[in-house]
Amino acid sequence: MHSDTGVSILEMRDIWKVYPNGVIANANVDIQVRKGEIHALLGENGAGKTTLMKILFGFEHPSSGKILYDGKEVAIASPHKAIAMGIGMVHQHFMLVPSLTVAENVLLGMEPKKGLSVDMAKAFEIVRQAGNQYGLSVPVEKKIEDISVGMRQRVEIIKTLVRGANLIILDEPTAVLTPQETVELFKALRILVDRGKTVIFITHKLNEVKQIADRITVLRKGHVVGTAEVKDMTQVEMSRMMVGRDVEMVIEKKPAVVGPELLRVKKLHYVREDKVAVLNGVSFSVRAGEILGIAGVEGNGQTELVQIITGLLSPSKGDIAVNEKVMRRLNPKTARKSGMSHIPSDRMVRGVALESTVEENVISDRYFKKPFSAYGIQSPRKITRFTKGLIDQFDIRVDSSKRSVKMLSGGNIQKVVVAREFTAGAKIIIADQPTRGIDVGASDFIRRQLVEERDQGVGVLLISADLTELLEVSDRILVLYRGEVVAHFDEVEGLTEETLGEYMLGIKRMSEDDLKGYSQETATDKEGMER
Amino acid sequence: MKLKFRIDTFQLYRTGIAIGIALLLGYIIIFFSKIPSDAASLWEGVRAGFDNANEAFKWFLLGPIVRWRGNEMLFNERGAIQWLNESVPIIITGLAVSIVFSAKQFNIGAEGQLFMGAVAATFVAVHFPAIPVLHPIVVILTAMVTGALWAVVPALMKAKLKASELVSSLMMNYVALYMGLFLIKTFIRDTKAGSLVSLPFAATAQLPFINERYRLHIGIVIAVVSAVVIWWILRRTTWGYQVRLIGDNINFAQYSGIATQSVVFQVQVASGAVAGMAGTLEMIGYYDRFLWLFSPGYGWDGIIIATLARNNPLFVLVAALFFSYIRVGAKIMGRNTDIAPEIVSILQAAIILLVTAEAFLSGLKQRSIEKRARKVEEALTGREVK
Repeated sequence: MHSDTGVSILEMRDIWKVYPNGVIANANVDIQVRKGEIHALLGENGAGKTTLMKILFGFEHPSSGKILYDGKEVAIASPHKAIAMGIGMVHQHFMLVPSLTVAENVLLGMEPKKGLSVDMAKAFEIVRQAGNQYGLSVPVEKKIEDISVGMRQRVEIIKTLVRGANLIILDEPTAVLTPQETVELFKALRILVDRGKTVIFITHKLNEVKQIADRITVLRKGHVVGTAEVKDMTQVEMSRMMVGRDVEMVIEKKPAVVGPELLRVKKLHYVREDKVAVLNGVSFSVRAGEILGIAGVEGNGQTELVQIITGLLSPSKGDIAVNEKVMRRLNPKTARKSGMSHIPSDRMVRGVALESTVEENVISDRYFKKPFSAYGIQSPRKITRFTKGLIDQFDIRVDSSKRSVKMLSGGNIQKVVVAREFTAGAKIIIADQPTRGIDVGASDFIRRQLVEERDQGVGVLLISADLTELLEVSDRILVLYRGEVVAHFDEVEGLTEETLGEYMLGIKRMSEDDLKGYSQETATDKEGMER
Repeated sequence: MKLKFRIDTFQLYRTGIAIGIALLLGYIIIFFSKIPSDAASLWEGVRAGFDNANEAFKWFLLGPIVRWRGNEMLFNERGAIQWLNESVPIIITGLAVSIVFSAKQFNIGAEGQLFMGAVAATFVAVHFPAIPVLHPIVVILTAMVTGALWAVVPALMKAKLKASELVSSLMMNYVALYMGLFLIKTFIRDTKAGSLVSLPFAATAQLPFINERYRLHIGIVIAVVSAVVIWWILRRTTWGYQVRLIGDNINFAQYSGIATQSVVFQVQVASGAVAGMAGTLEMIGYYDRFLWLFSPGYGWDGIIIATLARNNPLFVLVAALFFSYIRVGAKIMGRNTDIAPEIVSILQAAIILLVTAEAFLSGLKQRSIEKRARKVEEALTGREVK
């Protein structure tokens, strides 16, 4: 397998990358990758892993530094160049055309021709062979939109192989996968290195590193902390390298003291513009003092569900009731008025206004209220004082409340969002992927805040792709699959990620009877509220 | 973290450098066009070119504020007043455009709004019962209301039909031009006059003068006050906050509970009201009747000025004064030399291109940011960094 003689396929030396907003993504980074190994690039979010790999793939240009590929110094001007050199990259967000078949996607731009048209039979054959050679079988004739996320990832990998990649970069490949799909991926990666390929694997999950990687390079705050053989290290040692301290991950939680029902979602249906039914009769309720977690592979209706509850989207059918009152004209304004606050999953799109200051961002839902303004005139001094309070309380790392939000790091931007939403005086908090893409410290802080709010009697709806987080924080968990609730767990104790994974993948689903426990009320008790 | 300040001063440098390059370009053009073709030698020709270009630039750069008696430099009162008067309409349109641009609405209807405003104002200025003081106020208000109404059409089409305001507001400019001329021609034309002009305004409609000899009217005061008031509204009121937030990220504004559609509508109408008075101030200040045969172009100038000022009303003031200065300078140069004053259009174009081109000098900026970042890094880690 991997050679200890250490013939390196890639060396990056003293790489610097400074972004136009002054953020140093990489400083003095040295990394060496050996031929035929699986090399994990480990680090918290924002440690500079992705930037480094974007530099390697020609997406970004380093401010300074040297790259040696196969012993020769190279300048990688563009992804095109990188591919020509034999470097392939599978991004976190797949770059596939949903309406085309697997084979068409793989061979895009290099299709076998028969006269003027594409020789489909030959295309299928090429892709099938390429896949089989590396143990990656894919349904070549199916459209991308009809296959699972795990399959799409395989397609991406085959795409790089067909283009002659010898070094394959995988950017957090397991983030979108269920535990079962992850196992499959790891098998495939082993076959790849056995066939002489080299893999760089970006991740922040330690157990995966232990399972699959030969060596690791750990990045922290843009610097290389060290490179080591995986077999020589324990997970605790790795985490210390990664975070710089021991992380206390367990959140102490008192048993939930459940109060009256605050939010009820009733037989929600949503049909997208392209006629795809994304939600098919989802019902549940959130009570005061509890955290209801929603698990599911991304794209199973979570986004639409949250947007409907928070008034950003109108359902095709069904109702939202707050405090047992059906909301007739639900929009973000009335939702907030009724006591809801919302941590959106897409914080750069909806969570903040990047060019605006921290001050302007934390008052966006209350700017019209006292003491922030009176008679339509803002009170700058009071806004500043309030913002400074939040900066202290939520430990937002910024030197001035008048700094524009785009100058902050991802974790601190999320803290701005959270600071606003947690101080809105809400009775219901909709937290959609509240810790996605932020560092461990900030994530931990946000989870603790969620639990604290729940202890204060707030009802929390938590949507998360991070199963560890869901299991740690939630009091109850629902699983959403293809727009339906397929499982419901009243007790989180003893529940494992693997069990959740089976329901998330649609391998298992609870029977109508099992699900009645939570949905029955909707069907019968509240009949009076139906139209 | 001191990076922010540098980045902002960078914008200032960049604008300065853009202006410098534009002026240099103008100088070079004049230089080459003024080398006499019958020069005795190349050297003679080059020297004549330099002499002519220097002479032209003297008039161009100093003309608006300096006049010469022999070798003595005196204050050019007429030039300075012309400079201030000419800046009035473009300050106002610059403000109008900066309001809509603040909300990232690409409404370019200021030209039509000011034209219709002036047409409606003409009727009131001619016919309204002549009450001193009140008369010009009513005239200006009429212009503003008309401008606002003219802006309602694209604003409504945007809100109700999702029609691009860029297209509809542009089209409304042509409607305004031909309808306005038709109204003037049909109802209020001065048949005794040789050209197509309206009847003269009532004397009471005239704006008061600060300097009667060269007709410096209080329009400039109104423009400056407007700039400060609009700056205050955008920066200090909850309405202005909504507008800016929408301009920064409309999805975020909506998510926060702001009624974005309605604010976007209000912004367009408010901008229309401001634009409405742009031409009217000049008309009842400097002139005494409606005498446009073509669209005056102030609306377009407003777009240039708002862009240059990055939608900040106070910078609009500076940018508009700068533009009217080089325009007056060019006219004075044209009167005193045989160089066409239109050269100023080339300068304007060069400045705008360079200021709006994001990549212009961005390498310089990036290098200075990298240098700073490395210093910070060194201080933090204590490590030597190249």
